[in-house]
Amino acid sequence: MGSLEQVVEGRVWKLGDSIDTNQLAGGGLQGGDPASTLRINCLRGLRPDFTDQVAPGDIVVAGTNFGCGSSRQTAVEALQLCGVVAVLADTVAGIFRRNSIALALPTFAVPGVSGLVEDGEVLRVDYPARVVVNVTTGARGELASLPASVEAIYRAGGLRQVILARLAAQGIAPAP
Amino acid sequence: MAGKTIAEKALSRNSTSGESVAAGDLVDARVDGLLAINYLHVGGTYRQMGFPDGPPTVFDPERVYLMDDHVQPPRSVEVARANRESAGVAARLRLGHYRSEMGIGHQIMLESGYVRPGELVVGNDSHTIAYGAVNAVSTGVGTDEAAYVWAFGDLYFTVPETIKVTLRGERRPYPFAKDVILYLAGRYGDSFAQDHAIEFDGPFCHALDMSSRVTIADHAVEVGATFGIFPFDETTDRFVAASGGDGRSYEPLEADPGAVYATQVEVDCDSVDFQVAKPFRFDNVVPVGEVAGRRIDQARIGSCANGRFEDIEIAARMLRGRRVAPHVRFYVSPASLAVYRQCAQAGLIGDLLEAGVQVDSPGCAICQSPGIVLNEEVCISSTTRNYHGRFGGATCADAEVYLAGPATVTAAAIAGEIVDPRDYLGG
Repeated sequence: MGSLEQVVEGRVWKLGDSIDTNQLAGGGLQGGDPASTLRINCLRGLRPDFTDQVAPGDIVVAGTNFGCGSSRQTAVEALQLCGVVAVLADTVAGIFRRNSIALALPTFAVPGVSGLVEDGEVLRVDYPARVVVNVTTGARGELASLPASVEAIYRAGGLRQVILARLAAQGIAPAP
Repeated sequence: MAGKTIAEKALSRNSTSGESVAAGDLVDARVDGLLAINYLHVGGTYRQMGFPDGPPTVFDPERVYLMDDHVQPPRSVEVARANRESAGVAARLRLGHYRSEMGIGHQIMLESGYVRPGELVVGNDSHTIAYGAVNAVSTGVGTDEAAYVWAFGDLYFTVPETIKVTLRGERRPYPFAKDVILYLAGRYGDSFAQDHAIEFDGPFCHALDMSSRVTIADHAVEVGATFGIFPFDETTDRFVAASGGDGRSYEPLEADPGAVYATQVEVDCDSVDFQVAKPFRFDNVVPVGEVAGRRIDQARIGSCANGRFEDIEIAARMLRGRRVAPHVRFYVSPASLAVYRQCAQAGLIGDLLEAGVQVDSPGCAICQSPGIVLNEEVCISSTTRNYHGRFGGATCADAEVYLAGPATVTAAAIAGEIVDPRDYLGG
């Protein structure tokens, strides 16, 4: 799982505009369990080679409106199950962005990022330095700072950890 | 000081710190209601956090609305088990509004009076945004966020900037609400309101019945909006009074005169033709004439967008004395049991069956995969989305789904191909 502080460098899977939640997590083939069903169908309709070839540490780069559609957080989980450690898109749909924060998948809206990198090139995502670098070509883009409270959710490891901590503070759950 | 938009007012009023907020601020806000659909989801989050028996607490048992809507009747043992656990959790936490029956959660929320004008409501389904129809400030959130709200009753929000959409024109027999929102998407794109609130306004808006307002507010998420809010007026007042609910008081919200808008858009609704969204995007919109002649295999009416009495009445009226084309499977699913009952009492169900329609049970299934559309098939539907694989998953990613209003869908079902519905609508 990626984290904000970690500098990640990975192969880019470049996608188009308005990649929706049905393409990310819309079912189809039947896996052995819910997680494998999610994994094997992720982007399959669009890129049949994706789930066979994607490797841990890979990065998804897309155009505008990435993750539009339903509120299903399985859209984020499916990418995580495929090993994707970061998502960068020109713009990101609101609920997908919230879900990626909740599940601590680093996701960044970077206007113009789809023009910065081609499919198969290597991208470095360096949030501490607020920069994204196409390692293949040297092209660079800026990462905007996330609000401190959002960074805190990432640092906790996701919203479930925040829930557990707050339940513990109320004496409902054991201290983490 | 600048005036406030409806979104700014709602999030200021509910801010846990009591501070007044403006567009761009990040705020922790108390929510007035949580729709939790499918216990499978929130229950799964708690199970993975070490609570196998479900949430250990609830922020307010009267403000969490738990529904089994997407998964009733259950289609797998796993889901059947989750629904059983759902009932157990509702009893243990004494939830005041647990609804296990068939029907779409959003329709049940609205017709039961569970959501009131001006309230800030979230739900773990993107079409929670539909409650903007009754002047609520509502939006979809993820499962873990719903689990968070379930326990604590608050959540972080980025206060959105607001786009004002003024709908002009008089209310004529058509276009229908679906045509208006499809036109808006086609004209401005599927992310034109991304991370923004929309405030709908204008004379056409006030002339719309509640069912039509729900269609438009429901689809605000299809153009990227966080909230899609209608003004409160007599129509809202009558609808809310009739829906009953627990009778709790409410305060409608309207924008201040000096409210600042990111953009203002006007639509002359009288000049809007029947619209169709071609595969595979909500904004891939053309007037119906441009796709006339496309042969269809399947037609659907239903969903939170267009599964109400008013939608089904249009279909029944058009089908009297006519029949569904022999090669077309036409499914109609009332949005809730209450809608079903209303349709049955008005004789509409008989009309549909007589004409060869396959009347399906109420619920969300009509908008998902059951009734799969194969890659070589074509469907026209009044439901919410036409994405790749919407009606069959990744292995049916090339199946074509056209979105349209109930009249255009019904006309296509009769003709066996997409046609201008005017000839079937009568005077």
